Amino acid sequence: MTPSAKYADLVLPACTQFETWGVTDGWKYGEEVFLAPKIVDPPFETKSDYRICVDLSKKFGVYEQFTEGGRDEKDWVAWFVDEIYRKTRFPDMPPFRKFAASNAGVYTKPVYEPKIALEKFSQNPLEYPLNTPSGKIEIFSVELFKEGQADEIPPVAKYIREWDNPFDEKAEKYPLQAMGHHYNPRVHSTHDNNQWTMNGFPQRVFINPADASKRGINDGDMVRIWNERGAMILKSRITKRIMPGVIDIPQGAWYDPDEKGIDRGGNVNILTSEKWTPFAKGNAQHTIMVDIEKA
Amino acid sequence: MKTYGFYIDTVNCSGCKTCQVACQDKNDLEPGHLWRKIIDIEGGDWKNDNGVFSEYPFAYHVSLACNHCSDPLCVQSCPTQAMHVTDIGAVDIDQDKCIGCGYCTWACPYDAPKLDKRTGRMSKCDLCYDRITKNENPSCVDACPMRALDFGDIEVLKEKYGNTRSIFPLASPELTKPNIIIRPHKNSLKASVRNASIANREEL
Repeated sequence: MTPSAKYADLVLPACTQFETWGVTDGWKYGEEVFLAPKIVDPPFETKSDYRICVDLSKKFGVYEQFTEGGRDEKDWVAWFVDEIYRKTRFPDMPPFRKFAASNAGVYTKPVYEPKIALEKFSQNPLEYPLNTPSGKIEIFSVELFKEGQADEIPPVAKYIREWDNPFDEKAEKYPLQAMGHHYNPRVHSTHDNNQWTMNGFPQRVFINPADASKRGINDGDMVRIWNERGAMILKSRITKRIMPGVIDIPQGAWYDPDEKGIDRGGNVNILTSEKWTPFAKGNAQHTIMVDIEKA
Repeated sequence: MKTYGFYIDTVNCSGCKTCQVACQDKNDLEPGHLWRKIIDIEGGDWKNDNGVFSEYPFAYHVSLACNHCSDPLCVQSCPTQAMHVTDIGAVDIDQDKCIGCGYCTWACPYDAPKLDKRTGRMSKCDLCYDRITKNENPSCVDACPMRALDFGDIEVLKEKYGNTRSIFPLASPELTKPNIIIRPHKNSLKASVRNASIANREEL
């Protein structure tokens, strides 16, 4: 069971994405559309998360509004391809009915000639201004300046010290910087329970030999990693591929506390501040100071 | 008679282990039961110059299955003649004769034969025999997202890619005459002088 499911009061049987219709594109600026057709029916009592919400909407008496006239998963995908993608970013894409029937799976915007970034702007900046307030490349951003937080959101690109950093008093207590990189065997937390991939890339804390020898840690030792927010015990991997003074706990591992509340799953979030990053309001999972010892 | 072999491009290999998992998927191998494995090499070191670190370390990866050697030590060391060379030049295990003693693994410098705990007998890469007889590539080759693996007649591969048969940390090719062609990573040349070692013994 996932850690989130353990905390849930009610668990509903959702099906996988192979058992319902879906469509996605390569992020906001991608050049591809991926169709994810339903390959098999949902097994047993499972339903798509959309279908679960539709059933709830009936109970709440908002079925018509929620489904916008009774659309099912496939209807929404068709609507999205025909009414959104084809009318905005992908005008040359085939209509849904044709696209799905072709079984191509992926539509890629054709590229006919080499592309040069900002080509028109560089040739004629007055006629082709950029999508910025001044229409120019902005070294000083007035928009960011107006945010009024120059310490954390500077209007010019420059180095700013993290909240947790190796240069202030706190670093005497927690001298190592910790980061949580995206790890090969998982997509965030997906596949943490996949033994084939996790066996190839087990969850380890990566430590430079210089930091490990100072603390008497050998490769494969169980180590305790902690700061004022939490603690975990994890197996170590001594490697020169991580910089001295920095440790790495790959993000996405499932939280697995023991009876003392110490995480044995290697979930980097227990060491991370709950403070949002100033601009993106994201999780500051690379802004962590910790210490580490042999467990 | 043709002899089949693998081409391993250690320049383009990113060490993602897709080949390893594709092999396990195709052959229904349990987690940890590896017919193909990826050896991570790292070396070099960091220099602390007044608080500023320089001299970056290096790393590269070697994807390795059975090399179906022309002079296979595993065949010589097998006490029951289970390990043998097939008519397509592949090294294979007769499951009716194998007693699972593991002498082949001890003899193999590449640690290719693995004990199948479910059968108590040895097991290893069979070149995806069912696929190559249909003119398809072995699963690992087709799965590689970096196109860093190739497969075919070793003479054809030799013409296409040269004749490098070893790279740090692999054994000297004189020992068993492995049917692999390697595109060596530039840092493999520094490996022996720059303190390189295998970084992922735990996963092998």
